[in-house]
Amino acid sequence: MPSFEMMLEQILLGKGSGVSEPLSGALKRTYGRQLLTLSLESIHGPFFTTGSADVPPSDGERNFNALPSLTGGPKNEKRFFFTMSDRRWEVLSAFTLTTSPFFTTLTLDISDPASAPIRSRLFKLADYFTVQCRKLLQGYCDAVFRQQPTSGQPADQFGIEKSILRKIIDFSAHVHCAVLLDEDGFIIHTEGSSGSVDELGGALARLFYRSNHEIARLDCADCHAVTIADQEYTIRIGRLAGTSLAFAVSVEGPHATSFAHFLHKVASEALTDHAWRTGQLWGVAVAELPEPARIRESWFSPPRLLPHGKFVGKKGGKSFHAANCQILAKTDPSLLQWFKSRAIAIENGLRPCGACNP
Amino acid sequence: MTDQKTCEYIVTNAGSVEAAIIISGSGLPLAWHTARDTAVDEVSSISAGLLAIARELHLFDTTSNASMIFETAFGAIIIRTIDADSLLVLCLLNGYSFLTINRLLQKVYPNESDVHQ
Repeated sequence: MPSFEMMLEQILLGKGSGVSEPLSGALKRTYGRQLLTLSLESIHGPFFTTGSADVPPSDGERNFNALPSLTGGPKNEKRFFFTMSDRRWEVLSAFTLTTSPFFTTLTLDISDPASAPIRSRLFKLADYFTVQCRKLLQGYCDAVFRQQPTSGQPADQFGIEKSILRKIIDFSAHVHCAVLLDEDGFIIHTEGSSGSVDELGGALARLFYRSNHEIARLDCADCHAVTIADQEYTIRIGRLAGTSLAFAVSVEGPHATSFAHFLHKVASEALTDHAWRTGQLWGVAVAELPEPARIRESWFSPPRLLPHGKFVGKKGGKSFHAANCQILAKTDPSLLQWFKSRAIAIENGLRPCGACNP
Repeated sequence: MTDQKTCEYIVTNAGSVEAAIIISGSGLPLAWHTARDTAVDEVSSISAGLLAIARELHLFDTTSNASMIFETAFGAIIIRTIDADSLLVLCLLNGYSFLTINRLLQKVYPNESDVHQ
C-alpha cells in the first residue's frame, strides 16, 4: 500500500494516477504565480502544506467555527468559505471523516475573485482538491478496517490485530512505531522500528495508567489519552474501550501531531471494532463498561448526576430531587433510585426537596 | 508580558480555556487566571503530580520546548515548558482546537518554535 505522501503526490502531480490534468498543473495553468498555498489540515494541525513561506497558516479557530456552515447543507451541496485578507483570497472547504473535521485551503493572490468565471474555476479546483483528499483518507481508513488474515498462510491467532498495526506504520515514512500494551506496561506487540521501543513503550504505559490515578483525584475525571509532543516527534497513547489494553503511536517529522492524532483514532476504532465483533482483543476478553452515574462538565465545577430519570431520591430517604440537584451529587450511585415523574416519586412516599423544589 | 498578564491574555482570547496557570518546576502556582474566578490549587497539584510521573519515567524533559496533553471526557490539561524553571498549565474544555491554542501560544511566546507544527 503506498504511503499517504505518495498518494497525495499522485493527486498533486498526477504521477501514475491517470488524472488527465493534475491539480498542480491546473492551478499553475490558471493562476500561475497567483497560487500561494495549498493545504490539508485537521483541528490538530496540518497534514500537508505547500507554497509561499510568507503566507500565514489558516486560522484554526475560524475554520472550526465555519464548520457548521461548511458541512450543514444538503448532502450533495458543495460549500466553500471564501475570505480575503491582505489582498489574498482563501477558499476553505471541509469534510468529516471518523467524526473529525478536515479542512482544505487554497490561498491565492487574485485581484478580482468576485468575477464569476474566476470564482467558478476556483471552486471547481477547490472541490477537486477536497474530494481527492477525502477519497485518499477514506480509502486509508477503509483499508485499516478491512483487515483479514492473509489467505494461503497458516492462520495467525492475532493476525488481524497485527495487520491493523502494520497499516498504521504504512501510512507514512514518518510513523516510527505502533504498539499494543497491557495495563502493566508490558508490550504485547510492536510494528515499526524497534530500537528503544521496548523501554519507551513500557514507560508510556506506566505514564498513562498512573496519570489516570492522578487525574481521578478530581471526582469523575478519567484520563482517555496522553500525548507527548516535542519539536521532533509526537507520541500518543490511549486506552482501547472495553479492554485493559492501550494503543500507542509514535510519529516524527513536521506534521507529527496531526498524524499521531489521526492514526491513533483510526487504529483505536479499528481495534475496538474488531474486539467487539470477536469478543476479545489479543486474547483479552472485552467487557461492557458500566454506564457512569455521574459526569463532570468542567475542571472547576463539581460532578453532577447523569440522569436515568427526571427525579432522583436516596434509597430509604424521605425526599426526592431534580436530576441536576447537587445534594445527591456525591452519593454512591448504587444507593439512588430514579423516578420517571414527580407523581411516581410522591406515590413512593417521598416529598420534594426544599432546595431544588422539583 | 508578565506571567499574570500572559495567563489573563490566554484565558481572554481562547474561549475553550478555563484556566491558565504558570507553575514552578516543583508544582507551585506562580501566576494564574481562571474564567470562573475559582481556586487552582487542586489542578496545580494534579499537574505537578503528572509532571513528576513523566519526569520519573524520563518521558518529559522540562529544559526543552515540549508539551504533554492529558485528555478526559470533558476536556484536557496541557502542560508546556516555558523555560527550565517554569511551566504553563492550561485547563481546556471540549471543543478546543490544538491549532488555535498553538497559535495563541506563539503570540505569547514568539521566540519559541511551534512544538505541534
